[in-house]
Amino acid sequence: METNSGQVQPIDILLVEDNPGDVRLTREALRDGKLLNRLSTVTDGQQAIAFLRKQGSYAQAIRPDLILLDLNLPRKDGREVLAEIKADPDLRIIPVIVLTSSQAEQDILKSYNMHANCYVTKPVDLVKFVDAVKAVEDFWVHIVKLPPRL
Amino acid sequence: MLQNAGDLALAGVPDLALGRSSAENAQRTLLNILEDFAAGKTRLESGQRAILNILDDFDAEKVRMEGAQKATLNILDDFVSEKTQLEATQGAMMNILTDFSEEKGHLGEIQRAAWNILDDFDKEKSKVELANQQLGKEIEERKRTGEQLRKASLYSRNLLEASLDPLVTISREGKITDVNQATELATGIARQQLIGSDFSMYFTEPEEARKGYQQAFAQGSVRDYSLAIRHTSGRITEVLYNAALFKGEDGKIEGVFAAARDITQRKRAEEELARQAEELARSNAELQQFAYVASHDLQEPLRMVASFTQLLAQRYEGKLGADADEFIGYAVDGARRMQVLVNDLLAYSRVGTRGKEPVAVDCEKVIQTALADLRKALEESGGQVTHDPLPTVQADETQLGQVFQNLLGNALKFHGTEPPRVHVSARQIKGEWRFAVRDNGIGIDPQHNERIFLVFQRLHTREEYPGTGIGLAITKKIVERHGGRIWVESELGKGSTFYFSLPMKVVTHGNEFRTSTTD
Repeated sequence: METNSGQVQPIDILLVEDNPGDVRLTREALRDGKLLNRLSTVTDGQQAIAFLRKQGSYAQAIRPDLILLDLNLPRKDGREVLAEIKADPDLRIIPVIVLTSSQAEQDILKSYNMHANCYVTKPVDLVKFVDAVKAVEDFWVHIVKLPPRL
Repeated sequence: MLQNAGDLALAGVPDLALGRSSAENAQRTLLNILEDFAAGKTRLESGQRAILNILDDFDAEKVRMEGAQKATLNILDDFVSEKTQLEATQGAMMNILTDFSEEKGHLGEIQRAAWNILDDFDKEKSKVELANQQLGKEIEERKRTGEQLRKASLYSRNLLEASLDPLVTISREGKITDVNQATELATGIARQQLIGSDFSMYFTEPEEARKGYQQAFAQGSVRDYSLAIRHTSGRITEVLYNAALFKGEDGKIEGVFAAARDITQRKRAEEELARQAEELARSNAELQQFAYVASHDLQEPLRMVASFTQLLAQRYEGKLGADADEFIGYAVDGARRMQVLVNDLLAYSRVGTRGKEPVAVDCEKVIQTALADLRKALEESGGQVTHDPLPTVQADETQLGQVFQNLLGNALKFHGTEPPRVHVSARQIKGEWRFAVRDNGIGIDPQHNERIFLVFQRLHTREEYPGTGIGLAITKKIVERHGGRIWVESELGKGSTFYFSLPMKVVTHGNEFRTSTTD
């Protein structure tokens, strides 16, 4: 995020991902970025909602500027998490990027119907995966004007 | 009168004969006596000669002898009177015969009268005979008709009995009026008991049976009416009834004639077939599901292996020694190849799950799209693809595009020293379009004609020609999903022609043509 001085400020990203490998890969991909964005991670849907609403152990959680959401999650599905976020007047302003291995048309359509801000299929190839994550980061952090922090 | 005279005559004759024979007996006796006497005389004379002087009183003996002679004569006299009696009898007989003659005269008159009567009768007779003849003809005729009728009736009966289908006639009240043997066999009940009983009581669903014949009475006939006959043993015979009204001579409805066709076997076969179809569908669905799950769910861990071996290679190449570099290299290559295989398998399984309903597709357009996608291969190989005018067919457009792309891709890929020349044509044969993709490539040994269409079957090393061997398997699956066939005609070194057919009217193959959005 650019400040008035023109400097880009690091942003807070919440990654909702149950696969530690993907967490690491995403972290690696973001590490190569220009900014040290703060990446928080939760591994299921219930945790994600608790984190966003600062409930329980997440009372001190930072409200993220961007959410990277996997669809296939234990306990609470990514689709349910998306629905809850977009139904919440306080949370729906936060851009949600669905980052998933699913290529199902049904999932893509459903996600956009539930106001996902974009849908990205995880590339199978490492290089492409890193490129994709970087592209997402670049776009949302450097190109897009995010809503002001509340 | 006449008879009595005869009786007399017949009685008299043996008497006469008897009289004659007794006279002869008397004579014979007499002769015997005379012989005895002669013998006695001889003895006497020899005695006289012997005792010549002594015997003087032989005179007495002589007198006695004369007496005997006289008796003999008397006897002869008796014989004469006997003869007279006989003659008298003969006379009486003659009289009787005379009487008989007179009677005969009378008889003659009677005869004449009778003849007259017979004459008259003769005349009548000819008339009667004529009538008789006609009557005879008529009787003959009737007899013949009757015989024919009897034969026809017997024939019909035999036909009814020969029928393996239980046949029955039913009265308006629903009573059985006649059955054949097959009905007895199906119910286990004798004809005598069946006749007069309620038709409906021999079925598992009597109410349905009742509705059946009532419908026949109401509508004139019933077709393929499904019922089940219950045998006394409990055995059930599934049948289809065909029934129709039958009328008497006067045109009045007499009842319903119903024929049952045993479909137990057919039903069993149908059930078996349905069961197998269901099993096949289930096993197909399972297979589809398996292929999908295997390819889809394998992706995740595979992505991890591939990603981290790549990451390892990126970060540590040249830092862990030559061996480590080589090992990492194989790991990266293996993971990458496996990703391709899994992706191919996924693509193969998607032919079924992601297929769309067939629509009218212009093959000219489809081939242009395929060629555009193959531009790189065309440029690299210096190949040329030509085609005849191509038809519009009913197909899933994406999949048909894939078929052309795979076949053209192969034709461009498997070329020899000559730059590839590929020609596509289509002919209409027996309700289907037959497409041919002909190339001048390396050709295929005909022994591999089947194998090349199987999943991951390859005829070359990856170094010679890259690829997993999924292309033709997918192509075959798509063509078969459209109700067509695919085959190859080729010879090593002489190019190949791949043929595939598409029916002009695409039949939807059950769930094969189901559109699916799940992935």
